[in-house]
Amino acid sequence: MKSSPGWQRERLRAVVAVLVVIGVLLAGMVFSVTIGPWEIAPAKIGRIAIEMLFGSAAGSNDPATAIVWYGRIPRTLTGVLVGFALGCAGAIMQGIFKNPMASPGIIGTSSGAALGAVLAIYFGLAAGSLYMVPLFSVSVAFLSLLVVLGIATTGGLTSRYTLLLGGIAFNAIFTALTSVVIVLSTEQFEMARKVVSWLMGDLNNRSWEHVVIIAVIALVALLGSLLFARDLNIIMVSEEQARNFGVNVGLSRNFLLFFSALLTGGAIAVAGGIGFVGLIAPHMMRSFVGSDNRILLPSAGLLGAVMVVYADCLVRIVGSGGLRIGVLTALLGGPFFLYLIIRDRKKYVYF
Amino acid sequence: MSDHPIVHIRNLCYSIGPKPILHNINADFAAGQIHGIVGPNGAGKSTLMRTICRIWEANSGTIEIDGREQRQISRRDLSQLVTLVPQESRVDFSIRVFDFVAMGRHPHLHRLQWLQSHDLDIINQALAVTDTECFRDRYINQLSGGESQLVSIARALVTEAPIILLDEPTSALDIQHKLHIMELLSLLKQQGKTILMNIHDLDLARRHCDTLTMLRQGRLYYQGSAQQAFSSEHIREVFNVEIEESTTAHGISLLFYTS
Repeated sequence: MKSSPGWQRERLRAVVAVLVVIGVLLAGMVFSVTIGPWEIAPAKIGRIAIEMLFGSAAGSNDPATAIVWYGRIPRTLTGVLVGFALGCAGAIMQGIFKNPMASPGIIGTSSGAALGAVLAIYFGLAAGSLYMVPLFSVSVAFLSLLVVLGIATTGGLTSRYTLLLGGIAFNAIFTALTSVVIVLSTEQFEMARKVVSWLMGDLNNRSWEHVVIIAVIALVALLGSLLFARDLNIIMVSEEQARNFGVNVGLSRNFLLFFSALLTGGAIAVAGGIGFVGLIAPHMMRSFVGSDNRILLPSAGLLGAVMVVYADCLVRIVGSGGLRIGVLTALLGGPFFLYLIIRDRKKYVYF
Repeated sequence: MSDHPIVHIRNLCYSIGPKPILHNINADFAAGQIHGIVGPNGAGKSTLMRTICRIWEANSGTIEIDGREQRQISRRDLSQLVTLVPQESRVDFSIRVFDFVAMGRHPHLHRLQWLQSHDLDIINQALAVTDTECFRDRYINQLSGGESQLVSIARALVTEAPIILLDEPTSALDIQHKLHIMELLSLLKQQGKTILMNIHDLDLARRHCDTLTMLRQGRLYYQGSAQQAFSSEHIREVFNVEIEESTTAHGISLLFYTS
């Protein structure tokens, strides 16, 4: 039977890990809404949330209500959903590229999304509609994914080596183009300030509209990618084997790529450049819940949410304006990535 | 044993760009037998297998599987008829042997369906037949070459496909493991499976295969009984070496090759 002792132990570990992550996430969310120049007791925050949800406080003039309901709660929820999207996107990409080191930041998807968003801001489209930045960043992210994958694929096989090299090239190109846009925008100081601060990852002044955008994106992409999660389980072993077991590899892979671009582009559009979450969250969850993408995708999303929410808390407590979330995740994520490279360097000698 | 060809190939051509890999292949493989496919490196053996299970699409010609034109069969149905055991499965992720073998149930499950108790029975049976139950909880990338080959065969059994294609199942193994695999294939033959395998070891092929198919430079050179395949002329033509058979004092017949 499947319930051998080893398997049962493993399942128990997975359940405990997911429960712990959910608990830590909830604690982080509660902590996050209490942070701010105004001290508001958690009990009062809870009361405000309940009153606003059930409409009994409509029209209340208490400034605390505005701060909590229109400031801290949307900020926290945006952080949760952005982290979820990035963790989930990373898990999808690691599967498609058959490489536990793939992530939106490394193969050029994030910088593509950032370029798209910066373009939307520069051409003034962002001012017209809140939806233009996500639209642009998702489109450029998806395009860059298709091109990178096209370059790295010959005869139905994707070379990880070419993929990472292609990612380096695209990161350079997109970052350069983004710099061009920044330089061009410096004539308008306010816009340049906005672009630069946004690039570093920012959750200041996030509204309920932002929450709705990223919530819809995260939900659609998560449910969509779960439809293809079992296909992904075989694709990550070998595309040839996937075809052997009746998977329509082209279709499944393109859908999964689209969903991962949607998640990356959406997250970057509402929160700016937050790196390394997409690399680390799936990597860590994999060792607890295993490599079954039906479980890994949502679990990696949860850990990603934890990372962004706590990074945001830390930034507000110690950052005093200077530190940004993207800077913090890179400062912590960079060394972690180095650790992975050093730990696995023997394994990757041959590529 | 039946003489009805379960795989019936006519005028099969396959090329990558301008380079022809398979040229006008006509071959039949009877059900319930072990068929060896031999030929030098680059003769098109692996390509032939991959076109039979439609991992790669043939450019022209027809392949009939169990009386049906292969292209008329949906991918999902085809993968329940014919399955490939690749030479090597190198995976960068930690996947348990059990989950790896369970992948063979993929064509039988709906998109959102998880393994049912019926599927678990089939998986456990395949693990038992291949004698791999003892490492079901180990990681696939921790297995030795022989163990990993057995696990791949278990995965092929789990698809319940009557036709199993093996791409050089023994080439990376020591003699003991080679024999173990060949015994397993004979057992599967007794259970009614049709087996096609690429094989480099001619001695092993001669002993265990019912028929041999020889490929040379993408063309079919010989198809027929394994015993008759080993004339010195055939070997010279296909492999460009001389063959010499001798019998030891203990009555063991050995093949020797000289260039």
